[in-house]
Amino acid sequence: MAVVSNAATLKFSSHNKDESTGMPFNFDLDRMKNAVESPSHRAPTNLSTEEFIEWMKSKQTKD
Amino acid sequence: MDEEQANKGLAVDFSQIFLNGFSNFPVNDIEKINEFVKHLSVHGFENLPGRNKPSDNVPTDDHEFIEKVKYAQDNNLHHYHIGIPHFDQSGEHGDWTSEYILHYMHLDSSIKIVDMGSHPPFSLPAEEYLK
Repeated sequence: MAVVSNAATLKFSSHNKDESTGMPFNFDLDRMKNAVESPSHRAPTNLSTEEFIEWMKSKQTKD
Repeated sequence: MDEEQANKGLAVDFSQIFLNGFSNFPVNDIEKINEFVKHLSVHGFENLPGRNKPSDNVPTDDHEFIEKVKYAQDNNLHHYHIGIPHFDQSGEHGDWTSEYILHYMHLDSSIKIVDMGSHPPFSLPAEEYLK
C-alpha cells in the first residue's frame, strides 16, 4: 500500500492524502520516531508540592 | 502496597516544553497536577475524580474532523479534567469536569503529560508539545 511504503519520507501535513482512497492522513514514521526518542522526564512520586516545583525547575531548559 | 495495587500504578513523564512553561502556573494548579501524578503512580486511572477520555472524540461538525481524529489516535492523545480552577461536581465522581484539561499521551505503562489548556473550544496540543 502506497501509504506504508512512503510513510518514512512524508512530513506531517493535513494535506497528505492516501493515494488509493484520497483520504487525508497524518501518519509519519519520522514524527513518531522523534516522539518516542524525544527527551521526557519521569516524575518522582510522593513529593510535596514544594518538592514537586523544585523538581520541575531542575528539569527546565532555556529553550 | 500489595502486588495487585502496584500493578495498577502508572509512571508519569513530562514533555520538555511542558516543564519549561510550568513557571507560569499558579501554585494551586501545580498542586493539582502533583496530586494527579501521585494518584496515577499508586492507583492508575482507577477512581480518578475527573473525566478522563481519549481525545479522538472530535465533534463531527469540525471542518478538520478526519485530520484531528487521526492526529489524536496516532499519538494516543487523551485528556483529563484536572479540576482547574474547580470541578463541576454535578456529574458522578469520576466524571467531574473542569475548564482546564491536561493533555497526555497514553503509552503502555506510562503517560506523558504534554500540555494543559482551557476548553471549550477543545483543541489538541500542537506537534511540538509532544516532543
